[in-house]
Amino acid sequence: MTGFGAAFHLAFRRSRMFYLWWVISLSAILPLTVTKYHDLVPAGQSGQLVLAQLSGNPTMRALLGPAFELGNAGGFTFWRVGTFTAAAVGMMAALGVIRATRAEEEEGRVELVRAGAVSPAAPLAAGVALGLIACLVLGLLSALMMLAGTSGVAGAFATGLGLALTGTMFVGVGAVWAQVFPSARTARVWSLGIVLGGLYLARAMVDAPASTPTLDAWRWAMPLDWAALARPYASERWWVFLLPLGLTVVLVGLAFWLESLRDVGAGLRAASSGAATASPSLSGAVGLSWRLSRVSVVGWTVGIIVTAVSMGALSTMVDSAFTGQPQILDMLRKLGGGTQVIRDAFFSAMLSIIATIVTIAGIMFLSRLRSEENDGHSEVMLSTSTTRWTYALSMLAPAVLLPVALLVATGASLPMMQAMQDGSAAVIGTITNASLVLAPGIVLVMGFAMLLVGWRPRWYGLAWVVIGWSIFVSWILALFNPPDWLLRLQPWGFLPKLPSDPMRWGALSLELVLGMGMIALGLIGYRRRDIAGR
Amino acid sequence: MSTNAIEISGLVKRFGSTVALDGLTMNVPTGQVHGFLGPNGAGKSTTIRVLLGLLRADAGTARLLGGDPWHDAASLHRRLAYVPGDVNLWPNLTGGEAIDVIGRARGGLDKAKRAMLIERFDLDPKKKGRAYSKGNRQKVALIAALASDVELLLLDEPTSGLDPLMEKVFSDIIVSERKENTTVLLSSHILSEVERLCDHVSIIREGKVVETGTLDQLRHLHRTRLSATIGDLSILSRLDGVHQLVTENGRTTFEADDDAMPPVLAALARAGATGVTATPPSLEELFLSHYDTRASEKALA
Repeated sequence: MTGFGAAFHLAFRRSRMFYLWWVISLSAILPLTVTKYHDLVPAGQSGQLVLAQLSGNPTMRALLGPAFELGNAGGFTFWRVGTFTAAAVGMMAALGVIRATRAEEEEGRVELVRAGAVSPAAPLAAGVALGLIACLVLGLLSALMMLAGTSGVAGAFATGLGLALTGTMFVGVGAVWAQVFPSARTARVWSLGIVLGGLYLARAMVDAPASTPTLDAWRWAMPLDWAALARPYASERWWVFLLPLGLTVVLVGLAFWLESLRDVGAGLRAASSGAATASPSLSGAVGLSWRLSRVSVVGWTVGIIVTAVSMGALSTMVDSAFTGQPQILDMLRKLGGGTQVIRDAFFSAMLSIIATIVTIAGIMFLSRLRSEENDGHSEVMLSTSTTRWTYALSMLAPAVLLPVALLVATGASLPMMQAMQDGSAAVIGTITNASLVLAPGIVLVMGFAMLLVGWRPRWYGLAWVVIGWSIFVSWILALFNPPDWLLRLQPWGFLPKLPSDPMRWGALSLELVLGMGMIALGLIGYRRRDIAGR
Repeated sequence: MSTNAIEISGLVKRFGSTVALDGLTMNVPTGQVHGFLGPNGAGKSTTIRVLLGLLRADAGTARLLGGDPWHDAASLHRRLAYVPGDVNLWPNLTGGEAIDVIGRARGGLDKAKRAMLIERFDLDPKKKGRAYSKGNRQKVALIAALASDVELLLLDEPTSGLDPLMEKVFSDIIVSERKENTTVLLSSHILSEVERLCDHVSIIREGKVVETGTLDQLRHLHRTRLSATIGDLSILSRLDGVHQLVTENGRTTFEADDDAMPPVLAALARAGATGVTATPPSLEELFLSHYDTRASEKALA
């Protein structure tokens, strides 16, 4: 392929830091968890009993995937963080391939490359190759580190291969959507929001109930379960890897075929024409902000409600027989909140996860205030009679209010099935309250994000670091029995987990005040600073 | 009428260690079409952005339509329109929608004028932003700016990417704006455009105005090129203000300072010169003398 070398070199140069951080952090998750196995699972009979009950818990299966062999450190580790990490590798892969292909194309840089002696498919080939290599390197690193921490050579490599091949499937997914849509943003939404998110949700629904032949058959249709179904550390089934490998080949092939059908800069469909005049609602900063974000507002709302209702359905399976099993409760506590009632723990765990996810929506919405500036749109709007306040608020307000509304909607819909089953509506009020109590965490993170936009817009990535940190704390760090203050050192850590925790107005109001304060400071900064042009 | 639409005095703007504006001073009287010229990176866009209140000046003062461009930004912006040099439209809004969004945000636009401009610029307003060529994006920004009745137009290389036919349309519209006493600050590299439209020109280099005046005044600062067939060169070569005297194939060419013209012409008459031509400095020569400073370009790149 003419020019592949040059295109690959360019893609590598532009994405090396991106992949470096993703690969380092993701390949470390499993090896770190292995080292804690003996602390987490007591030796002997009681440990085995705990594990059996843990893996039989629908909540755990929904979140973590099917369990095959929890009696050894490797098998337990793969169950505990493997499927989750594999999905995160998929996220890296899709984001990586889109940033190297469609995002570059949208900015007009692919045109520069293609004008050289470069074959038409070279930029796509470079982006795909880089993504595939990153996944394989990540898998290899994980395998080597697992080799050091566990006794099974086959298990270590099956683990690495599972992560790598889950990633390569999403190299394919990202590459395909990058051909279909002319905008990188849309391609990301479809790759992560719809395909990855949808598959994780579908997997959760299939994995949660007690095993039946029908469900076991369905599990084979869940690409995010394939890594687990290859059974690392549980008498490996190597042939299972043919599934992700095959899907990767098909998707990558499809991407190249689609690429050959379309023009540079275009999507698959010819750009449609639209209205010659703006509708009355498309007026002012607020109208513009709504127009630019309405599709994602609807998408997020539908996605979160579907997730909440499906997860709510699982709650009816949560067996109250686990009550009185201290070890299990302890385990659940590390995921959710300290509680005597396992069902409440389930709701707590769900609400914490959803609170983090909807905040991602907020950070994405507010990032528009920055991307509009980089694209030269802010310059144009701010040279009209739109004030900086109005302009910033037109994007800040939805970025704060939407996540809060979605969180509260989740609180209201999670217990819906439960309420229908036992006919008590009270649980809806209780869980809605519990969700409201978590809202100050969103305000805090969004305040921090606004502070960055207002004073140091180039450091906006730090807002993502906060989200990454809180996911890390609740999924990984919790296993390490860290000091309590460290476990709480995340936006939702100090907020009470209702209904099991007592209400703590202090923490709640402090976070709210801090968050609002940072929002105000951020707005002041935005009003004072230079607005960059294109 | 005698007031200034734009008054800038000693304006300084730094980006880190780079000095973009270094004590820039200039005035644009109300109703004037003012050409704003200078090499790339001289500070033209920075000046316009300070006037728009997008950038905060580090020192000096700027007044715009009698107000402070930073503090009174929103109210001043109702009375002015801006066309950026590098127009980037919202990819999923149509050109027509973008025109309306920008116009409404300014406080409304004249529908008849909007229709007239779309017609004259031959724009398809139904296309999505990402589908427009550079020239068409420029048209969208121009229509959005010109469709409102404003007192001041800040135009940053507004015709870049337009074809010659559309450049002509633009010129005609600016001419009619001038009749309505609209003040225009026109940053441009197209010299014929500046020559046709601008009453007054400021040339900026390294963040300072190096020359300002009407085109005629600027011409007077520069030498006129003469050529003639002369028998006796001795009278001419003794005169002050005559430069680069060269005779080739019997034809003599030289340059003369503007204030040396009367004695030069008298000398030519006395020497019995025939076939005399006198060419005032072309705008191009005028600008090139200011543009061609490689060292300064490097410093400001």
